[in-house]
Amino acid sequence: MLSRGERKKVLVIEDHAPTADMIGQLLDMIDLDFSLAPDGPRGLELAVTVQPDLILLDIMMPQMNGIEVCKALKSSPRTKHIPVIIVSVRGSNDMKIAGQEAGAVEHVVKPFDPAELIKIIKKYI
Amino acid sequence: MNYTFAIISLFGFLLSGVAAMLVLVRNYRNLLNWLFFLYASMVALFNLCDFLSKITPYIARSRFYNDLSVIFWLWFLFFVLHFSVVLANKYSKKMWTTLIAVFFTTTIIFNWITLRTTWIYLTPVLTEWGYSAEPGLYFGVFAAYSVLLVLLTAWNFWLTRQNVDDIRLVHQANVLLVGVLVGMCIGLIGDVILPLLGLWNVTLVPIATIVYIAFFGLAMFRYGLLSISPSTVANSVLNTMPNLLVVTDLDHNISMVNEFCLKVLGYQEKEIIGLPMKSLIAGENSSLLCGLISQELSRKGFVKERRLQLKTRAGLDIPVSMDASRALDRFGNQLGCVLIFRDVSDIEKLLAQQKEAIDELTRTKERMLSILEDTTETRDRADEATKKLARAYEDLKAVDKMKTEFLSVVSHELRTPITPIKGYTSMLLSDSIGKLSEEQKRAVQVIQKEGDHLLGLIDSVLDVSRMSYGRPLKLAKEPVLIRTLAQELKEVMAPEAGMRNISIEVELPPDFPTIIADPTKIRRLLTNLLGNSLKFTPKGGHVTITGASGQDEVEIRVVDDGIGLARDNLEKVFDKFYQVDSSYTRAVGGVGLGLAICKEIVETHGGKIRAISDGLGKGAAIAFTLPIGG
Repeated sequence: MLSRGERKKVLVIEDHAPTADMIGQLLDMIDLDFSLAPDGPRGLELAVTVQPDLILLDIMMPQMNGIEVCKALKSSPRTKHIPVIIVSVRGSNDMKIAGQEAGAVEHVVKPFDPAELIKIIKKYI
Repeated sequence: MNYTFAIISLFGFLLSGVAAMLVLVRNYRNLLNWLFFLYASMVALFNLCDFLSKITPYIARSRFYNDLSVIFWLWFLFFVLHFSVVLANKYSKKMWTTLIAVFFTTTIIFNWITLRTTWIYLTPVLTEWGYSAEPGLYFGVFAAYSVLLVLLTAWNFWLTRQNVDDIRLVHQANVLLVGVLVGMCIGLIGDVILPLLGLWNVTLVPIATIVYIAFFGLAMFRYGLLSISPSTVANSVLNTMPNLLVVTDLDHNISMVNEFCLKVLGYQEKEIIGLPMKSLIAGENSSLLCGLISQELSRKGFVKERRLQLKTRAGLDIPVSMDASRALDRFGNQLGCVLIFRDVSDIEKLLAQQKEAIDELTRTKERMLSILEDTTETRDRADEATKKLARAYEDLKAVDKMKTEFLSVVSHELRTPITPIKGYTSMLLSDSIGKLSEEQKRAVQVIQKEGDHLLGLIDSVLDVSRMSYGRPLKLAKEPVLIRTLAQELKEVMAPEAGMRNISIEVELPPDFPTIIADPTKIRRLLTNLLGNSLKFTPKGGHVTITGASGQDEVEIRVVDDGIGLARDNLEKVFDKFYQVDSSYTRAVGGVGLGLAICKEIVETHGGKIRAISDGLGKGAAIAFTLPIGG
C-alpha cells in the first residue's frame, strides 16, 4: 500500500457536484488522490499548484468549456505534460476530434460504466 | 360557144368563197361573221352551180346544176336577211324573229318546188352562152319573193344607218345599203325585165352577187363592220364602268346617265332624264351645293373628289366621291357638265371599321397599361412578401439554431444527472462501497435498469428531433465485424432475455464478411432490433440473428416467434412514434421510435430495411441490408 503522500493525484474538473463526488469515490476506491475543481479557471489554478498525474475534464462548464481548458493546460509548460481525459456527455465524433486536437488522450462519454473508466485511468497511472 | 358569162360566174364563185373564208378566219366567235360566212358560201356555191350548168354539154346535168343554183340562191337570200336583222340589232324583236322563221319555212318550200317541178325554171336550152333555163310558170312569184327579201334586207340596213351615231358605222351601213340595192337592180334588169321583153336570155344574177360581195367586203374591211369603233368602246365603257355617270345641260338638268347610275339610283331612264341635278343630291342645301360646284367648275374647269351624298329614288343616301368636268363642243363652248360619282359607302364603312378598330386598340392599350400598373403593384407586393418570407426564414433559422442549442443543452442536462446514478448503482452492485442485502441489490438493479431505459429514451428523442430537422446522420466508418458484434450484444442482452426465458441465437457463419460502417450506429441498430424482438416475444420464445452475404451487400435478419405483425402494419412499423398495439406496447414500454431510428441508420448506410411477418401470432422478422464496401 502506498502511503497517502505517495498516492498518485488526479484532478477532476467537473461542474456537476454529484458526478464529481461519484468520480471522487471511484478514484478513492482505487487508491488515487484527487482534487476537485468546479470550473475551468480553478481547474487551471489547481493543475499548476497540485501538479496532478492525470486530469479528468468535463466539457460543458460555465465560464470556460473543457476544450478551452484543455488547450490552456497544453499551452502551459507547467501543465502540458499532464495527460488529460475528457469525460463528457458530448460524445459526437466532432467533439472527440475537437478534444484530440486540444491535446486530450482519451474521450469517455457520460454516463459511463465505472469499471470502464477505471480501466482507462489505469492506462495512464 | 361564148363562155363569158360562165367565167363571170366562176369569178363570182372565187370572190365570194375567198371573202367567206377571210371573214371566218378573222373572227369565228362572232354571229355576224358566221352569217356572212354562210351567205357568202351560198353565193359561192350558187355561182359554182351556175358556172357548171352553163358549161356542161349535157342537158340533164345542166338542169340539175340549175336547180341546185336556185336552192343556194334561196339560202343566200335567207342568210343575208338574217345578217341584216342581226346588224340592225332587231334580232330580239318578236316581228323579226317571226319573219326569219317564216322565211326559213318558205325557203324549204321553194327548195322542194325547185327540185320536184319545173314551175320556176323550164328545161334549159342551149344558147350561144351555153345552156340557159327559161322561166317557168311561177318564175314571177320566185322573183317577187327574191325582191321582197332583198328589200327587207335593205330596210334593215337603212334602220342600222338611222340608229348609229358613229360616222364609221353610218358609212358602213350606207355601203351595205347601196350594195344591196345595186345588186337587186342588176338582178331585176338582167333576170326579169330583159327576159320578159325578150331582149335577153342570160341570167345576170352572178354579176349582182359579185356587186353584193364587193360592197359587203368594202363595208367590212374598209369601214370596219367587224372591228371595234370608238363609239362602241365609249358605250361599252359608259355602260360597264362601276361609277355613276350623269351628264347635265346648261340648266343643270340631267340629259344623260349610264346604266350603272340607273341601277344604283333606282330610276328608269325616261324618269331621270330632264330632272334637275339638285334633286339627286341629298341634304337640305342641295341647291346651294349645286351652285357651289357649278361656280367651281366654271372657275377651274373641273372638280375633284368632292364628297357628297346622292339620294336614290327610294330615299336612301349613298356617300359618293364626285369628279366633274365641263362638256365642251369643238369650238370650246360649254354644252353642259359631265359628273362621275364613285360609290364610297364601302370605303366609308371601311373607315368606320378602321376607326372602331383604332378605338378598340386604344381601349386595349389603356387596359394593358392598367394591367401593367396592377402587375407592377402586384410585383411590389410580391417583393414585399418575399422579403417578409426571407425575414421569416431568417427567424426560423434562428429558431432552428436555438432549438439545436436547446437540444444540446437538454442532452447535457438530462444525461448529466444519469451519470452519477449509473456510476453509483454500478458501484453499489459491485459491493465496492459496502455489501448490500439481496433485497437492496434487487432494488438497486431496478434503479440501474430504469436508468439505462431512461438514457435510451433520451437518446431516441434526441435522434428523432435531429431527424425531423432533416439533419443527416453523420457516419464514422470503419471495418465492423457483424458476427462479433452480434455475439457481444447477445451477452449484453442475456440477463434481460434470461429473466423471461427467451433464447437468443446468433446464426451467422464464421466467414461472414466484415463490412465498412459506423460501428456505434450498427451497434445501436442491432441493440434496437434485439430489444424490439425481446419486447414482443413472450416468455420461452426465441430470437435469432441470421444473415446471408452477396457480392456487394449483406442481409441480416433478426427473427422472433413473438406476436407477429398484421400485413397492413408491415410498412407502418418504421414510422415515427408508431405503435402496433397500444395496450401491448404500454405493457412492454417504449415510445415507438426504435424502428424509425433503425430505418434511418440502415438507409444512411445505403441499405434497405423491411418487416416480414406471416400475420399476427406468427412471429416477425426485420431484415436489413448493408453494403459491404460502405
